Formats: sequence, C-alpha cells, structure tokens
Amino acid sequence: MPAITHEDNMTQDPTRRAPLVLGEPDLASVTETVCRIAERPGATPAWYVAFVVSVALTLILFGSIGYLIIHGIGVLGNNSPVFWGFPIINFVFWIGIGHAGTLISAILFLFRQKWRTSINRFAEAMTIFAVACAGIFPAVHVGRIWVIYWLAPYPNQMALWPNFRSPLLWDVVAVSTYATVSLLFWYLGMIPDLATLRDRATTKPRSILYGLFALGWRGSASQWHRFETAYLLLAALATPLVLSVHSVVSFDFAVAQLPGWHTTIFPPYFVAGAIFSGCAMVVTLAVPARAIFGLKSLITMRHLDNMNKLILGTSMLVAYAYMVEWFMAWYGGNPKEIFAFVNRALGPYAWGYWLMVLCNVVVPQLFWFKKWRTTPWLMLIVAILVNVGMWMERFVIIVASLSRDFLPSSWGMFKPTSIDILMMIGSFGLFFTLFLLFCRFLPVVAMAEVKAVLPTRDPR
Amino acid sequence: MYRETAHMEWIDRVRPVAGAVLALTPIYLITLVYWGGAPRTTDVGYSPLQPIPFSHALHAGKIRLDCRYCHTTVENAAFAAVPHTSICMNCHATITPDSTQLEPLRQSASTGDPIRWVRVHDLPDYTYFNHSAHVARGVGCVACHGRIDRMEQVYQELPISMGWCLDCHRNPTPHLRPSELVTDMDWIPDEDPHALGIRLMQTHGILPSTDCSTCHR
Amino acid sequence: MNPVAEQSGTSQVAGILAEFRDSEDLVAAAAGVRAAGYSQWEAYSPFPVHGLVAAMGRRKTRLPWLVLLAGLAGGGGAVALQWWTNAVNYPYLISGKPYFSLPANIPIIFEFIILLSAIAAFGGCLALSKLPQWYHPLAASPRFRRASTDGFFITIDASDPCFDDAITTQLLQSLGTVTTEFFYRIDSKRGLPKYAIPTIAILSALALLPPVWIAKARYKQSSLPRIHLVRDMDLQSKYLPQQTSSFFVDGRGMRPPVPGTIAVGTPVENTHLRLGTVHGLPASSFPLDVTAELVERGRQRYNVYCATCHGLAGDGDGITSQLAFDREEPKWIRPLSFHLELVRDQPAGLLYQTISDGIRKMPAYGSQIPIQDRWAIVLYVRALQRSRNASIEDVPTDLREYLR
Repeated sequence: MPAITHEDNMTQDPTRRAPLVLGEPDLASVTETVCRIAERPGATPAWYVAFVVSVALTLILFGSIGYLIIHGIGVLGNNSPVFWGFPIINFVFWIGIGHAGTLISAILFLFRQKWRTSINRFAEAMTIFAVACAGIFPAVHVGRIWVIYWLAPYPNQMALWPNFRSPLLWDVVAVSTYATVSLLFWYLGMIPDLATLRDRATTKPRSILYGLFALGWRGSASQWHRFETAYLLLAALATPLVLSVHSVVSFDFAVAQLPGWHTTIFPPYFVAGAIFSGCAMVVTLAVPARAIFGLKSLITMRHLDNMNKLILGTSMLVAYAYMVEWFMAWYGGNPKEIFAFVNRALGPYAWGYWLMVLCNVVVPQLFWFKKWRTTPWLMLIVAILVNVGMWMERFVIIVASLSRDFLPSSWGMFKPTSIDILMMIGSFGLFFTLFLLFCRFLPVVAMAEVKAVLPTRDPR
Repeated sequence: MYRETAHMEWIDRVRPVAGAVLALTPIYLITLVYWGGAPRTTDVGYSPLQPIPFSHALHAGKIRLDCRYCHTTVENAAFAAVPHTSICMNCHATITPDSTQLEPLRQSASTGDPIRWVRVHDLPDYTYFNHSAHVARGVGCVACHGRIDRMEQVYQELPISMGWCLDCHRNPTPHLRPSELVTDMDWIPDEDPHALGIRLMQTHGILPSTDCSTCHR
Repeated sequence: MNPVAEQSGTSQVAGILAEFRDSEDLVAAAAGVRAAGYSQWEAYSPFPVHGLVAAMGRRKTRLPWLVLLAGLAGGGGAVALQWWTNAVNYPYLISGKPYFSLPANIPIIFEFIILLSAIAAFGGCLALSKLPQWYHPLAASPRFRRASTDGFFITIDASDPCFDDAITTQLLQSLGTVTTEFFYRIDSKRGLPKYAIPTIAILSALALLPPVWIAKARYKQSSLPRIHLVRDMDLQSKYLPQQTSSFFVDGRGMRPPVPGTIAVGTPVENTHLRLGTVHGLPASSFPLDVTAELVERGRQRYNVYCATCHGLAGDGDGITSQLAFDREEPKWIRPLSFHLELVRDQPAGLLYQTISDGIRKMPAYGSQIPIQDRWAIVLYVRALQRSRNASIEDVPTDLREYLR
C-alpha cells in the first residue's frame, strides 16, 4: 500500500478524518521508530554539537549562580527603583513556556483531541524542563538560597510561619505544585514506554536502568485500567492547575498597587500569553527534533499546522489584552495609570514595547497564510520571534512599570549586569541540555498512546 | 531490574518490609532533623573553657554575692557587662592573692589588658535584647540563665531561641516576680504565681510586643 | 510441551502463557477464560484495550474515590494550616488584611487540593497495581517481552485451582490462541541473598549513629562552639559592647576613655555631691533629700555591694570576711564594725569618700556604684548605726507600746 502523502494528512475535507500518523505503521513499527532514537549506540554529530553548546551554557548558568551565591545579589542589576529585574522576567518567561506542554498533554486530552498523542510526551518534557529553569530564578534571587526552606510551613525554633496572605507565597505553592504534578503526569505516562525500552534492551545497563524506572510494568489489563483512570484524573487535575499557575504568577503583580500592574485583566492575560509562548516553544523544538530524529511520520505537518493555528489564536488574545490595558487606563481616568501606558509606548523603554508588539501581534499574523503554517523554516522564524516577543512582554511589564512609578524623584533606569545576561542565556542552556538528554535516552513519543489511535492497530 | 531479577523471588517477598522501611525513612529523617536541629541540642549545654576557672557556684552560690556586684550595668543598660579586672581584685588583692589559677588575673591587673572571658549567652547580632528592660520589670536572672549559682563552669541551660523568647512574650505571667527579687536564684512565690504575674503586669504596664521590630531593627 | 523435559533443576511451572493475534481475539478469549471459571489469570496488551476489563469480569478501580479523599484532605488541611498558623498561632497584621479570609487563602487551598489529589492519583495507581514489582516469573519469558510492543497475551497461573497442563492448554487453543507455552519460576531464590543480612546490619548500625550523636549533643555539655548551620548575620561587622577588635592594638572594640575625661552628666560643680566635701572638708550633711526611698535604695545597694564583707548589720562579719578568716588569709583584715564610735563619729562625706576611693585594704567602689547610690548607702549605714544607738524617743509613739 502506498504511503499516505503529505496532502492526505493536510486534507480539510470534513467528511474524511485526516490520519494521525503517516505511512502505514503497525504496532511494531511505532515501537521501532520511537525506540530506535533511544537505542542508537552513538548520537548524530548534530546532537553532539548541540549538546556540547548546551552544556557549556549550562555551566555558565551554574557558574553565575555560584558567583551570585558567593557575592550576594548585589551582582544583579536589581536596584532602586527596579527591584524586580531579570530574575523575575526569566521566571515568568520560563513558567509561561511550560504552559503549552500542559495544554497539549492535559487540556487536549480532556477534549479527546487525538492528534496530541504524538507530541504530548515532548510537550510535557518541555513543561518540566521549563519549570526547572523557571524555579531557579526565584530561588536564587532570594539572596540566601540556603535558607530557602523558610518558605515552607514547618514548625521551627523561631515559631514563625509563612504569610499565607501574600501572593509571593501563593506563587511558591503554585509553582511547586505545578512542577510536582507535571513530573508525576509525565512519568506516569512514560512507565509503559519505559517498559517497552526495558523489554527491547540489548545491553545490561539499559536493561537494568529502564527496568528500574519501568517499576515492573507488565501491561496487564488491570494495570492498564488503573493507568488510564489515573491518567485521566491527572489530566483533569492539571487542567485547572495550569490555568491557576499563571493566574497566581500574575497576582504577584496585580495585587501590588503599581500603575501598569494593578489590573484585573492580568490573570487571563498572563494565561493567554503563557500558552502563546509555550506553543511557540513547542514549534521551536519540534521542527528541528522531527528532522533530526526522523519523526516526520509521527509528528506530522498537521500537528505543526495545528500548533501554528494555536499560536495565531493566542496571539490575537494577547493583542486583545494589550488593547484592553490601554482602554482600561483611559476609561479608568487615573492619570498615573494613563501615564504608565504612555510611558511604555513613548518613554525610555518604548523600543521594548514596540518590539513586543511587533513580535507578538504583527509577526504571528503571517500564520494566516498556509505557506507560513506548513513550511518548517518559516514557522521556525515566527516561533523564535514570538519567544523573543514574550520575553520582551515581561521585560516591559516589570521594568517599564517599576522604573517610573508615582514619584518622579525616585525614577530610575534599569541596567542589567553581565551576570543577569549570562544567567538568562545559561537558562536556555539548561533547558536544551535537559531536552537533548530526554531526546537521547527516553521515549520521545508516547508509544502506547499512538498505538491506541493507530487505524491499523489490529492486523485484521 | 526485571529480566535480571526474574529468578530472585526474594525481591517480591521483602516488598512489605522494604515498603515499611521506605515509609519509616521520612519519619526517621524528620525526627533526626527536629531533634538534632532544635536549640536544645545545638545551643543548650554550651560551656566554653574560660581563661580562669571562675566558679559561679562558689561566688554566687556559696558566698551569695549578688549578681549585680559584678555585672554592674545590668539594671541600666541593654548589655550586662562582664566585670572588669578591678572588680575581681576588690577581693582577690587580699584573698588567695598567690593562687596559680589567678595568674591571668594578676597579669591583667598589672598590665591593664583585659581578661578575654568567653561569652556564653550570646544572641545573634541582629537581635537587640535589653537587660535593663527585663530586669526592671521583674524578669529574674534565673528565667533566662538558669541556676547559675549551681554552675562550676557556666553553661547555657535554656534554648534562648526566638520561639523560646516568644513563649514568654506571649504569656509573661509565669516568669514575673517583684523587681527587687530579680537576682534571687531560688525564689519561690508565696502566692499563686499566675495571680502575682497578672498583678505585676498591671503594675508595670507590661504588654510585651511580638512585632518583628521589637527585637529586630 | 513437557515442562520437566525442558527445564531442569528447581524450576517449576508458574503458569501458561498464550498469545493472541490482536486485541479483539484477546477480549473474546478473556471472556472465554472467565466463563471457564478461572480466577488466577491475567490478560496483557501493548496499549489499553477497551472492554477488556469488563470481559474479564474485574471490577472498576477505586482510584477515583482515593483521589477524592486526598483532595478533600488537601483542601481541609490547607484551610486548617492557614487558619491555625496565620490567625491562631502567630497572628500578625499585614497591610490591614484580616488574619483569615477566604479570598486571600483560596489560592493555597486550591493548590493543596490539586497537589494531594495528584499524588494520590499517581501513588494510588502504582500501589493498587502493586508496583513497583521488580520480580515476576514472566520477566524470564522472551516471548512475553513482546507484550510491550505488539503482543497480546493471556496467562493462567499454575496456582489456579482449575489449572491443569493439558485441559488449560486445550481451553486456550479452543479460544484461538496463536501459540501457548509454559512459563517457569527458574531457580527461584526465595531466601535473601548472603550479603543481605550483613548489609542490613551495617546500615541499621549506621542509622543509629546520628541519634547517638544527637543524644550526646543534647544531654552533655560541651566546650565546642554552638552548631549554627546558618550563621549569616549572627556575627555582623559592627562592635557590640566588650567585643574584641582586630583593628586596635589592645584588641578591644570598646575604647578606654582618654585620661581626664569626665562623663556627660557628671556633677562637676557640685563638689558636695561628687566629692563629699564642703569647703574642702568632708561634709557632714547630705547633698540629696533624705527620704525613706533613699534609705530603701541604700539598703538594697548596701546588700549588693557591702554586705558581703561588712555583714548585713554592719558588724564586719560578712560571708566573705568569715570565709577569709576560715581560710586564714594572711592579708585579710576584718572590716571595722560601723557601730564603733570611731565610725559613728565620721561625717557622712568621709563615709562617702571611703566608698568612692577605698581606705586601707578596702578597695574603691567608685567605678561600681554610681554617685547617688553611694550617698544612699551612706544614709543606710547611718540608719544601721542609729539602730543600735537609738532612744525610745526615736520610735514613733504608736509603736512604743509594742517595744516594751
């Protein structure tokens, strides 16, 4: 039988369901395609080059953190009046990236969007690695990282408790819950696939390690039954969770009285922006990954097309939020609030504001064209620009608002130090290092899930 | 850990025990941290060697010298001064003037260099404790320092941790006494201590604050 | 298919493994096995096959109830935690917010519900499935390895009461199996390995070390510095009273005053008060108002500073004095009794000067006792002296009767 062509997968004919997987794969070939990536004795040169670069950047990150810990947070650019500088920008940026992963793995699962199956695993991995990168910044910016455990409510000799009425503590709880739930969700889904890798293992270390983490999974009917129940429950729990996490992150700002922060639109605005940036990151990762690892038949053009449509949709949500902020500033009639927005557009950080608008609002409109949605290198350009734009959004919200608040005498400019910049670049290194290791050693596609949606899953 | 262990049935048989051990491990660790990290473990019992083996048991206990004879600033200053050499020499110029143990004292008296006593009860530098405020309102020395009059070598008897301070700031009544009796080591109230505490709180207007800035500035 | 012929040693048949072509065959066969009355059996597939659990006659999992319970516990726990810590145990006011109010506490309640539910869903799924389970006889079967790729299997355990080599095989064949084979417990080691007991013993002994060390730290005194893991601002770069300094040659943080310095507030002009002299001669009057409070103050200070040598009544028989005599200190001279006429006749200013500057073997107390307190002591000494040389006229009239 001839392989199903590109066009067939992209069909818009509503009477025909487009196939989720290209070619004519059977159960064994799905296993073979996915496991081959993890089982290859040596990686491709491209992987090694990418890995060395990422590890170098990661070392820069940890070096900067070490320098920061030894010298104190004075090495960062945070200073009056911009007390929240790069650490918070990077934190919000990374935590936002994670959101698309949960959207794909949990929300689309609840909506029974079966096209998600082949990309959900690495979207979830992306979530976890992004949350790991995000967690670093608030952790190190507290200054004395060795007493970070004071954030936890535990009975102590000081007889003190955390202030649960503070958005910053909500943030701690929300982000750590998000990290935990994402990790459990990811690992639970991976157990059957780890068992596959275990059963195919040809070397002893692989057999032992995959065996250890597969926890003795055998795929019995009762195990599958509980697995499916637990997976559904975790998806149902992760869905409201992911909406809450960025809402809570936005409370860090919205609960403060600073003009430009103190608005009720922040929670939905932040969640939309988070999913927007996360989808862009999925595309950024998926385009090279499917080319390098030979996953084009599993991560099809239709997947990318769908992701790009999501980017377009969320871009317009974000654009709407930008407009509503202006409207509310004008309609609210508060001169401080109006000034905050005029200052964003025309003040010293106007370049940031307009770069943000260009990347987040204007550029994604290219996805109205099918050519941009379905050409890998074109969509990669847009996706990367969206990542830049979303980073700039956080920069504008935090720095532009803080640098000019109520009292002109205390206005000031923010200047990042080299440590700020190195930590930001280094966090990308950590993210890509983890992602490359994941691609190399773990099942990048949820095999069991793909098998369950195969049209040809039964040989008859 | 599956194919390799396919003949090790004992793995299955030890699972309940392993599970129990795994469940108990956090309890073990938490107990260790709480028990080991408590100020009663880390701080209480600190008893540094002093340059002269000065015995509070002799001076405050047997001779019954008043605390304030040596620690003269305690009623008027935040800091309860360690006595200067000349206070020691008040008596030791004539009593046991030739003792070998007092050699550092004589040296200090002749050269003017202070004796480097090692401080036992030492709060962190970010805690501003005021002795005079407590002594004037009738918090006995013994409340924080324990039975100094029974110590050959002074040691820390009480935790002196923040939570411990707060215990008293939240409920000072059991620790109050008439202010002229603050230095009395073995004083026992001859009335209901609670009633006495309440009365003293009213007389002195004691309303201990638990705000951060009470002790940290 | 004689197991004994294929396997030797201690291996024994653990059950029978039958492969099926696809998931539909598997579901049909499962219904057949169930109908045949087996209880110790299981079906395996590389992906979840819908309808299989129902065909096997297994009941639905209780996991959702477990998760619900965990969620309720999380929510309830979060409410209790926030209420107790912020409103009861250490209530402090922040930005005028109420100590406990749902709007401010909902985010944490919500996150705790999710967190505990998720942990229960994950942990419950594993625990109910009896995972992790790193030993299973099926792991030895090369054929069964395909169960995680494309194999559909039914196993019937040898422990099943209906199990019989021939009959069970026949049943499975009638249900359309592709192939059947026995699987074994191969040389199954039921006992612990040799190294296990010593390892456990050593680990247990090591686990006892920290508690022992803590117990020692807790119940024994030590001259070692206190253990503070987080020292940070314990020792700040500032000088507190009587701290050492590496900056000054004499090593003191506190600087001795320049010779001749007079403290602020010293009554320089008032020589009567400061030196006890009037026109250069010891004053016989008091520079302070003589009041009952001053006498009382004098009594207190006398008992603190003087009584240890002079005795509580001023007889020169204080504890220190007695001790010095007991020890036969050659340099000790018994203090004079205040009740000697010689002392009684001294003017108050002279007594004051004696306290301030010392006399003969008595050291100066000027540095220990403030000026006002010295005068108070002088007054109290006067009172002590009067107590032995008073006439009945000195006693208030209403108390005279009492003395007689």
